[in-house]
Amino acid sequence: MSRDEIIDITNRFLIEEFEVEPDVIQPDADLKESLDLDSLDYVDLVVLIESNFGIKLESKDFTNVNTFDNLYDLIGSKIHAIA
Amino acid sequence: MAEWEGKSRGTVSGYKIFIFLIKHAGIPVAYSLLIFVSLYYVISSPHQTAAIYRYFRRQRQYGFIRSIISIYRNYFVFGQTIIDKIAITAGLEHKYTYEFDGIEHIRQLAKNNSAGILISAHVGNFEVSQYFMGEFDKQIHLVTTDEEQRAIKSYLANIMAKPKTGFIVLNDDLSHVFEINRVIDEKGMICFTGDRFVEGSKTMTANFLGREAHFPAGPFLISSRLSTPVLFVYVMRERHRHYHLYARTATFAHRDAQSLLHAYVQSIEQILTKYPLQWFNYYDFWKA
Repeated sequence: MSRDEIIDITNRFLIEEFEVEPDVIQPDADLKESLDLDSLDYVDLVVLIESNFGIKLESKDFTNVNTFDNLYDLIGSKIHAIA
Repeated sequence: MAEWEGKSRGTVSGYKIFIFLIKHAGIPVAYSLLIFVSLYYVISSPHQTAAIYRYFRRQRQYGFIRSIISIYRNYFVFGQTIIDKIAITAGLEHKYTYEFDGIEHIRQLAKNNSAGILISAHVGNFEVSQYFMGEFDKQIHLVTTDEEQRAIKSYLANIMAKPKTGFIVLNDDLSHVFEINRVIDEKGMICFTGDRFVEGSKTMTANFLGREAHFPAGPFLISSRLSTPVLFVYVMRERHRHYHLYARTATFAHRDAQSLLHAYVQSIEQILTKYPLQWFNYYDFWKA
């Protein structure tokens, strides 16, 4: 799966599930701030990523995920790891 | 907006005193100590006392004298639930009687080998619920934000025979996210308390006991989105060391968190109508 496809799928479910305007999602924007995530919203985020991409995430994966770009990188690396 | 500060009153040393009394003098003696402890809390906790007074006066429409008496009785019953929790966890469950109401809903979860989400509230004594569910061989994982209680839970875990309720504490490192997902993947039971939130949490509003109140959005958003059965579960204390578990299937539109919250509010109102003294949120719940 290409990075563009990852970005497209990710942005689509983020817009739908977190009810944000498309222009809120910018590669270098802060993920938590832009999506207004609280501690329990991350449960939704992880479930969405895992179900959309068929990958499994762990707590440590999110250590360096601050921006949307970081999130796309994380998803990409997980997909390539199981490919 | 009224929010809980994230800490509950009570200290490890307080628990140690009660455990000593329960073990060496018996449960009734431990209860008798509450005559003084309850009075102490009425006087020494003005903010909590005022919040409970407003609950009785405004939400329950009690008169002045009845409200004052109810404050004391509320602290007393709360103390009894803590003593019961300690006693039951310490292996004295045979000193209590139990009654199941709606247990078929929990049996159905077990039969279907399905994960379940339980939503409770700070009413009654939810933490003893595991003792109603021994036959199902499923541990309940209670999601909590209660920082101060960690020391107490850790102390209890060290001295108690078989702690059966697991705790998932909301952490900045997001470990709770993966714990919740793991439990659901393993067809376990997650329990949220749907009535408290801390600063920074998203909230939803609903009319509760005649006035608008804020509730944490997280438990209702998650529960409404996952394809997992949701039950409202309360364990209420009755006279003569009798506990009554109520389990009700939540009826709501899929992905409609507001309808789930509405159903939840109605269920707590029904429980509190029957057990008005067992409301244990000691802060101004209805503050705008």
